[in-house]
Amino acid sequence: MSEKSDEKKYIVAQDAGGSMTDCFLVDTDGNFSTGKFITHTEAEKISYMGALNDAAAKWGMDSKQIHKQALSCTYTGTSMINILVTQGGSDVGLMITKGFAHTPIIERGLTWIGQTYEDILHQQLHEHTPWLVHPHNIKEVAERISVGSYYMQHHSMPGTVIIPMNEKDVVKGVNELLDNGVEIIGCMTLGSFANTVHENRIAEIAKEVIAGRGLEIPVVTSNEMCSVPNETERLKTLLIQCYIQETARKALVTVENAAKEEGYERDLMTLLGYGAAATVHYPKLAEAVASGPTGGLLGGKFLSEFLDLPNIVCWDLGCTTCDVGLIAGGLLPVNKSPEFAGHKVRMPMIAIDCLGAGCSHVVHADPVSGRITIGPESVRADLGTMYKSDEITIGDIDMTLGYVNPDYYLGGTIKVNPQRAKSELTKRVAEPLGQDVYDISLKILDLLHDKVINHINGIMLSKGLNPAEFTLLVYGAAGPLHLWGIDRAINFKEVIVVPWAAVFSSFGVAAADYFHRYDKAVTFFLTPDMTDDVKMMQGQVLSQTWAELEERGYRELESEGFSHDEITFRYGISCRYIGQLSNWEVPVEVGQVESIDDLDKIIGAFEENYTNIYPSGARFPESGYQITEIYLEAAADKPKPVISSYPLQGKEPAKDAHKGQRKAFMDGEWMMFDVFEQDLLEPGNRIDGPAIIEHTQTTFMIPSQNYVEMDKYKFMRYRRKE
Amino acid sequence: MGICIQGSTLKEIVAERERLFAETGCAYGLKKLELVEKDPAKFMRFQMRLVASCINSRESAKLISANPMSMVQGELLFMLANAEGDVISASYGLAGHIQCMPFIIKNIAELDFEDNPGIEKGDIFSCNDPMYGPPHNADCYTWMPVFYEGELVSWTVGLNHIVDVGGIQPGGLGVVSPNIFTDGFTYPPTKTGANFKQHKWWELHWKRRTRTEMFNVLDDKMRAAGITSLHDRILEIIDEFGVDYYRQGMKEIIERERRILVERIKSQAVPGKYRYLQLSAVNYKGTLGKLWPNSNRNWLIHKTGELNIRPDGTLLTDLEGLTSEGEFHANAYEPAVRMLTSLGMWPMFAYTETINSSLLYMTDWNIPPGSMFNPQNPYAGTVMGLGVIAGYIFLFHNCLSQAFFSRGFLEETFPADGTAGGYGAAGTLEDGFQWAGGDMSLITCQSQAGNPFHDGFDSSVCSPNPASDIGETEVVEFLLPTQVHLGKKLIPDYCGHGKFRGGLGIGTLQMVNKPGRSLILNAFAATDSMGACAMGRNGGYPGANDIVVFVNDTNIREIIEKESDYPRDFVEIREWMEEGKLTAGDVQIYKGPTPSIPCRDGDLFAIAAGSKGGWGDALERKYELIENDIELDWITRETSKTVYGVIVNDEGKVDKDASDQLRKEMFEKRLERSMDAKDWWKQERDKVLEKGWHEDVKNMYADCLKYNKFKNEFFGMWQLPDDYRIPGYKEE
Repeated sequence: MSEKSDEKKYIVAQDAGGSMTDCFLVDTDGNFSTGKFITHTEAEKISYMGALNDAAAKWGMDSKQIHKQALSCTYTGTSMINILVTQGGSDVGLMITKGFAHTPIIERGLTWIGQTYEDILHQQLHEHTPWLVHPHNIKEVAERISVGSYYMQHHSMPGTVIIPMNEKDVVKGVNELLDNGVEIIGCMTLGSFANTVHENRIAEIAKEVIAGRGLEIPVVTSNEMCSVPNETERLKTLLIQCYIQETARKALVTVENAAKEEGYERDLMTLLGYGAAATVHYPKLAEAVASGPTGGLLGGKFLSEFLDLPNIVCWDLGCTTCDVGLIAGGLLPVNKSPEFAGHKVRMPMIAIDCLGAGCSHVVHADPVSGRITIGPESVRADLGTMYKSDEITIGDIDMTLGYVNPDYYLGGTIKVNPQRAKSELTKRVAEPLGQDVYDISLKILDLLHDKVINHINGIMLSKGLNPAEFTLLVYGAAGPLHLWGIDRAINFKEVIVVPWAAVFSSFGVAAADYFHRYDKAVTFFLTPDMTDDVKMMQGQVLSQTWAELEERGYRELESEGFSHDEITFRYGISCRYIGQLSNWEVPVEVGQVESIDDLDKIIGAFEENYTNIYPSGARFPESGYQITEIYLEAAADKPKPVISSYPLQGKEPAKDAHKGQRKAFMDGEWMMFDVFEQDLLEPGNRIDGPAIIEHTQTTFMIPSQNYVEMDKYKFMRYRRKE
Repeated sequence: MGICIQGSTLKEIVAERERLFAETGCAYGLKKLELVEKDPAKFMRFQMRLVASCINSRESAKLISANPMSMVQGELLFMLANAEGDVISASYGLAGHIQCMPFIIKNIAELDFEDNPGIEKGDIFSCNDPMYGPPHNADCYTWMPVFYEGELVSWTVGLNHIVDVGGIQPGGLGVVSPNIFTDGFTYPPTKTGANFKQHKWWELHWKRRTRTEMFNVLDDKMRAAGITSLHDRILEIIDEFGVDYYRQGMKEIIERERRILVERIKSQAVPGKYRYLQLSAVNYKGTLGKLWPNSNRNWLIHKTGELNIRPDGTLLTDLEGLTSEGEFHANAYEPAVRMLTSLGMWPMFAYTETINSSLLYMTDWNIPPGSMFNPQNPYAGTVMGLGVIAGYIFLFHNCLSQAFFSRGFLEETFPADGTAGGYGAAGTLEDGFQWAGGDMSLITCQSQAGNPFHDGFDSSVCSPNPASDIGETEVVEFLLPTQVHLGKKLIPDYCGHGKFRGGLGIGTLQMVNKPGRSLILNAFAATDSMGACAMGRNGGYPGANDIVVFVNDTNIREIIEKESDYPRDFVEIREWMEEGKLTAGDVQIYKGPTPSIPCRDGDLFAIAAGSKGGWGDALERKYELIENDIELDWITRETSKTVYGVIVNDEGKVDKDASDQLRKEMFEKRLERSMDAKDWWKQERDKVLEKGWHEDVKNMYADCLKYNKFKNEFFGMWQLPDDYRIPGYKEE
């Protein structure tokens, strides 16, 4: 590929996982290249450069050439989770309402987050996460503000000051924190989502004290992070922000500097948990902490719009993860109190259901009870007995059954040992259970597939959704390898495998929009007997709150270099029927209520979304509506990848695409599979099973009952033979 | 011609199940697990498919409910049972209920339901009557037969805890009820629906017999919807695996899991007899007056137990010595005992991903007829027998901890006690608006007891629900607008001390804010002033009692106005009052249930619970641990000195020489205080002969002496003359 001048034409997106860093490189014409590199958690710029060079090399270029002509570089890394896991964050100081100093230690008692049912029952082993703030560095301030009441006007309104703040406590506490040498101070008061006066005043005094002592120490309030109820979740969000912000930013800025040294001219961007891109200088960096798995869903959302498929099940099977996300009616579902690494926080995150299943998951067989289990532990990049691990994994089974080509593992860059995989499987699984090694291997795959099937069914059925109305989008390094086992049990409308399956998450990173999101709790009830005046009075509060958020959006995006005109807004609400326990988030068209009609439209949007998800029998409109929170997304334009269309060729693949044949064990017998090279297939080609489509990063198994057609975008449509 | 396999009747297959187990010791007489051995992977897939079906049914059905106990607190379970009634798989939720279903099926078999009212495809059955299997009438069971090719192969079951049962007290957890007629709406097994739909008349019962008709009707719909969808999914699974595989597979699941549980006990526990005793009070005197004369009294409940860990890995729990049945709310039947106590078995040895009724095949119980858990009066009140049974959950924690410790499995020890505090509030606001609510925060999260190698973690566990969660203060205040929290925190020194101390108890302090025309608070504290059992702690102190404090007519409003300051817990209330800073017209302290206390603006209300026991001798605690406790304010200097024998200097460092010396003196004092066992025995024997105990204690002993085993041991221990007797209630 030729290039000249410094015309900006490349988009670089990287997704650094626990074992591999994936790179997706695309130009403005829609040509793309992909790269991979082992993740270097201690020096992420090495893996960033490695993955980019790997992708660029396929075009005969290097990272320098790409950087000079890059429109944007987006990098979502593991650094933040690592800071939490390795406890390498800042020394945090906390100013909190008197009587609540132990809130970060009590941690709401949630010692079991992310565990299996078996482990949850086994309570004696439950432990808290390590402290994000040392009890020494927690100082109390006497004050109390009312959170408001379920009985609304019958008692205190939200935000009423019940106990005025004791400013002496603040001055004393902040000085003590500074004496202790804290590197950042967080402020949190009960009820601050309803009235920020005390919390902001604490911050103000803290800043004065800090300045008075000639220091430069950041001060963060909980209401800046999330202005919504639930003090434990709000505090956890604040503490994570304080704990990781400086360290994480340093790591990201190192990557940014590396890119800039090679001629990249803009800010490096990263991905936030709710699916937005933001520069690495964005203040609320904690929102990026769990953005890892969101890339794939953003890719799914992009394809949902591009291919006009409103209902998609996104399924990612990798070495260590199996993530399932739903796009229903074109919407990405958002979880507002997500859990990760043992923490429960209050920041919006794209809802993804993770299952402990992947190719590096360990297979256990107990000869006494005959129980076979998969996981929960994974050997990650050590892959299995075929490579660096002594544990038998799903990957060993894939190898033993002939699905994966040992000479073409990651394009032949990794040397694996299929003989060892087979002999370990025989010795430690098949023989103790008195089974044939191939039979038992295939059945263990059935177990894995069933686990995934039950998981997908569970997610869909619990929301009342029918798989027959959904397209299954398959990606992840092992998605195409195991699709056959899933497709047999669930009837999807259609199944699509993306050609760059192994790096699809980084494609999604490239496809992310640039925006910031702000959430705010509101008090809003709409009952059938309410007069229009009362309704409008409440509507005005919504308008006013949105206007405040807009102001903040302008302020922050302008400080990031966008002009006033470039900034656009999207609005949304969290709503439920009065009396319900859950609420549902839905976008609305306008962020201003000027008439009853506007209100009806807002409620109508909720009703429409609700009936999309649940059967109409689940509606309760007679009880009225409650809006619990509103949100605003402030967005600016950002370059995005283009997907090219190609002319369709004949059904018959080109001769050189057919690499030969090999045997694999499926449906209880050894069968001969035709082997194809994916990069040499053309749009319009049809591959009939039994066949294997190989790629340097993935293997696609097609059983005899199925075939694949490559469409004009090179997406592979997986179908059943008539 | 019966409805079951090859024309056998339900009665016959249930009897056959029992015969096979009695004769072979294996579930269904399965000495060999053929399906498992032949193809273990397929078998595992089969089992996981059943579990997933139950989970999916629950997740889709629960949306129909508006009952917070079902939706949020997990009091909702869907299960699959085989034709014989064994639960094979279950959804997430309150897993203990698995234990009850086999009793229900056995009962309808013996009642000849097959003959009349008949059991047909699409029928729906309902029951909440504890005599027939459900633990108490708040737990409503709904179930449906699954027929395949004309033969009964399974039951699909749904149950949840409803909001109100229509008893003499509102709610579903009444603590006053002399008999079944005051318990509320109690229905024995009933055919309430056909063709996969509940009959219309059934809905009318909910509307007329309970207070929260809307919740209860929706719950009933939810259960019916869940068992119907599970029914359909099970038929798909039978189609896939074949009906023979299905029948045999369900039996092998039970037998295989039985073997796993037995192996855990065999490999971790030292066999033998382990004794356990707890006491609790039921106070009715003056409550019911002349209407129920037999209930106008108090009871001290003698909760004794003996866990026999047999060498073959099975367990026998002997309750001989338990208080007799009474005209109170706290009677129960065997299924209820098995259901609730299983909460003590899950963490200790029965933790598995695929829970089922295999526990029934390795746990035996001796519950003497006439005791409160085996009442002979068919009209015994049972609305809240679970409250007393709850103490027995900890029999398993404590006895098994001792058994595992003895074998060297230190990390598996989990000593525990029933500590929890909760309260209700009801009032009329200034504008006449009436409201009510409650708070369970200190029930759903507690600290862990000390174990043989580390201190108990703070706020990390919960006995009734494995997923502990103390909730959010901002939510509690939203629902209870008069309660302003001045603190929610760990309380220093509030733990059982020891070489490894228990986790600290948690306390809240609230100020009453603008109650309006009236406000009444009533609290309960689970330790009931009775002290903890302290088994298996090897010299550690038991945890402290749960505590409730009301401080009325205070000057807190003035303090706030002048100094913007406030106390944070019940300990600071005492300190502030001693300093004269806080004044009060009245202070009431409770360590058990409180009466309804009227409160006014500026009153203070403190509740604290969850203080857990320590492990090992406090005088052996390492100095570094004490330094850490002092640094973090978990332990005060005073306690460090008086309990641990450790002197800490102003810099927070232990003065080693002074502490060594102090500990030596404390050991010597212990020796001085000690007395010869023979002398102690004589002294205590005199008390037994004098019978000078409190009336409730005397009544308790008189009652227990009805049991031969207790009598023999009591007479043997105190060498009593043959004509010794203690007059029973109203016998004097």
